[in-house]
Amino acid sequence: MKITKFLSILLAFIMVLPIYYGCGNKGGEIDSTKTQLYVGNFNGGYGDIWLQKLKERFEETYKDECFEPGTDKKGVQIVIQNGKQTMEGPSLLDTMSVSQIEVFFTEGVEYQQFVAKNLFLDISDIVSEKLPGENKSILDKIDAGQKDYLNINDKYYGIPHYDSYRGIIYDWDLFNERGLFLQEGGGYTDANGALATGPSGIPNGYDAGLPATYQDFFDLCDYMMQQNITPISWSGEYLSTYTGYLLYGLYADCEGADSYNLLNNAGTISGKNSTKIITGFNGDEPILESITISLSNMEELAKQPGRYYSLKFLEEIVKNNWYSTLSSNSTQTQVAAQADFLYSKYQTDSPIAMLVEGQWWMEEASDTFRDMESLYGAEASKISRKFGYMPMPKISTDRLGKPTLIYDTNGSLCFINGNMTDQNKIKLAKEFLKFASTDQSLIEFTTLTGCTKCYNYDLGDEMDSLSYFSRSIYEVSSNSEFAYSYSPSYEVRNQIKEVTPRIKEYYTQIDDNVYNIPAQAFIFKNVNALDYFNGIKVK
Amino acid sequence: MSKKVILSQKVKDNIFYYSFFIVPLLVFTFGFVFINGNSILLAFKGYNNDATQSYWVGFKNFGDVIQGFISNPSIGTALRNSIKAYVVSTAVSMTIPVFFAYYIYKKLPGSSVFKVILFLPSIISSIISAVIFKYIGDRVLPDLMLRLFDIKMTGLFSDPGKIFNSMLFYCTWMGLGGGLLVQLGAMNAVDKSVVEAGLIDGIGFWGEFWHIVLPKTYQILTIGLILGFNTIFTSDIEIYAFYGLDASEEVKTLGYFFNEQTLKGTLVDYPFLAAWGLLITVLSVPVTFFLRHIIYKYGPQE
Repeated sequence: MKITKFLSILLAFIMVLPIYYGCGNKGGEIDSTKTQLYVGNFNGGYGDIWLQKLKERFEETYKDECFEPGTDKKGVQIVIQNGKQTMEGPSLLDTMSVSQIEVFFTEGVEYQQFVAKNLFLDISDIVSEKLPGENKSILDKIDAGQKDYLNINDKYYGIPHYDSYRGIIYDWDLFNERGLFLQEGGGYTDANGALATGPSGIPNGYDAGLPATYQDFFDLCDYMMQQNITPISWSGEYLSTYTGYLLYGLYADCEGADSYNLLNNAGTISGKNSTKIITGFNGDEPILESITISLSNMEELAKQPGRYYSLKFLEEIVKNNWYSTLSSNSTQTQVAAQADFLYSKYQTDSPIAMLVEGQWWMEEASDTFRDMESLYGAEASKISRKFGYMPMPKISTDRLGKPTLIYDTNGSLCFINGNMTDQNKIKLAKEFLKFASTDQSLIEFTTLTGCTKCYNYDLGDEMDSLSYFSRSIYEVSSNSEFAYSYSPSYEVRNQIKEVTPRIKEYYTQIDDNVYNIPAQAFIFKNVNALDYFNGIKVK
Repeated sequence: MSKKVILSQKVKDNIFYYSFFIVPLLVFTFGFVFINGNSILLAFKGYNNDATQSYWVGFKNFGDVIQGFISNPSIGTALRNSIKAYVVSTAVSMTIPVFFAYYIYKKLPGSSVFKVILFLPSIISSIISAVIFKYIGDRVLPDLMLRLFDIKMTGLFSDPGKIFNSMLFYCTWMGLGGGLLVQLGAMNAVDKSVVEAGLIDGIGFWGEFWHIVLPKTYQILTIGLILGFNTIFTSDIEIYAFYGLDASEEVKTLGYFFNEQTLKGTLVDYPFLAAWGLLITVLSVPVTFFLRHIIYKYGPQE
């Protein structure tokens, strides 16, 4: 009996132990001579190396400062807590109010929802203050669209974090070696030739030699096939997601910011509620009509021309078999697609020229780059191989010169926990946010991750330390406008939630069949873009 | 010794063991009673658009659910898929495990091999088996067809025209082990003397199956048939394990659709989903009891 009781207690203790270690403080040893600041980080594609460096510099800068008057504490200890699902917006909605974490760097945040629930601290005072060592404030570094998004009744509760967009990545080395850049006057050439003007309309600009229009892109793919090059690839397992990125990117760029954002704001922003819709077709040519959008007629957005043109673009790729075979295979993960793209140059007779991916893809493919370097030497390493981000081509030449509109989907933000009450700690948290927004911190983030922050800043000499792809991303980000995926108010979002998902996610009904993945319908069901477009409706 | 003293002594002796029940009781009270009670109340609530206030809406959410079933084509497709999945899985689970169990029960040649093959899916993690199955269906089979027969074949889990039937096959095969185990257990409980008497009377192999073994296992079969009705509304036939939230419309079942809406939804959407759950319960309970009544009244008796 006594042995049974002892064993029962022991078993119960063993079961409790993991809970203690799992839920205990993960930030390491606490230094009681310093003031702690708990920082949460969404540890996704960008990792946390940039935050570790930020922490080191901040702690060094403020090592002699006392943030708790009346105590002997001097200096700051930043305690970093990384997480993925636990640090994403939807999780934080339920846990933030009781979390000990004070400052967050994360994504997937429905900003207005969090503000409505008083989960964010008001940081209006710091966004207009000059940053440490600079003549600029945070507001000086963000664009009008971001200010519109973050300003709620003239107050700010969060600031942008990193850019997170997807699009077409191209193998610059392959383009150069096989002469795939568009030549001025027609034809194709290598990087040293006279390059044609790209979608930006800037002669010899950052996008020179890249397809400026849809037709340029199709002609290039055709040319590639003749050269036994596979034009484009994406993850087959996430066919819906990755071809969706391509569609949204084309759609947004075609429509422009104000027209595209009607999907999110339902025309509730004054002066920005008109758009054009397709009311019929004259052969293949859409017939357009102007319309004013409001909450009562949002379903008309199903007929925006950008949606049709994006479907036509994808249809052209599919019907001409310009995509890698495995891109229609559900076992092709995004990492496998990256590996196939990278290795194709060395291991196949038909190298892949382009890949649909996010701007963080090189971080995700780090292991693949390491393996390639060990197999093929330094020329195959991440820093040696050259890739570029291809701005979306325009539907026709009359659209050339309009800035690329990039559709940023991840809702990446920095904010302070609204449950903080200690004024000294609040002051510290605000100082940290300001420190993270200085040019030095922004540049450091880009040099360490290869990706850009959602701010206007000049890399200067640090450009030379970046990989070719990171430089390409920086140039594209600097020359583009951004559209964000979240509504101006949570109230509007909930009012349109019945409408938006169906038209946003390309739901269509053709006869009795419902489709939600255009690429799948094109590849396996021989559906064409026109029928797919005509079948998109809310009800 | 008085009853009170005896009772008090019993409690003292067992208090250590009673204390182990406190935690599971608390978990049950919270996890089942409180959460389900809250879900019932949620079905009659609505939230304002910024989800900061709730209010009573009567039966509005139930009306919305019924309207969704009538007019939403996605729900219509999901319902058709769910019914198909129920019919196929019931037909299979009422036949194949029985025959395999009888084969193993009779210890016929290769019965140990069958045991391993059919139990294996139940032992391996469902995510691992899903990955293996996906690779076989999308890579191995098309490759074999091309190499051996020069036939170009799209992947079973990539081609939307094949996905649903492939998922059905996978799900049914994964469930065979559990059914087999239960059937085998019932067959092993058959009285050996009855079998011997039957054999002496010359009933033979199939006669033993039909007259002695099957009636013994019939109740097990009927339980599956009765309880399986509810799976029309709850089963996602492992679609989530294969596709996460990226499944195409053509292959969704009601169970998957419900899970998807729950994972993608916010507080504002939950009252609709709570009403959905209640409505399904209200529908399933009488149908389940009716099925039970019919089967017990008209089915074969032992």
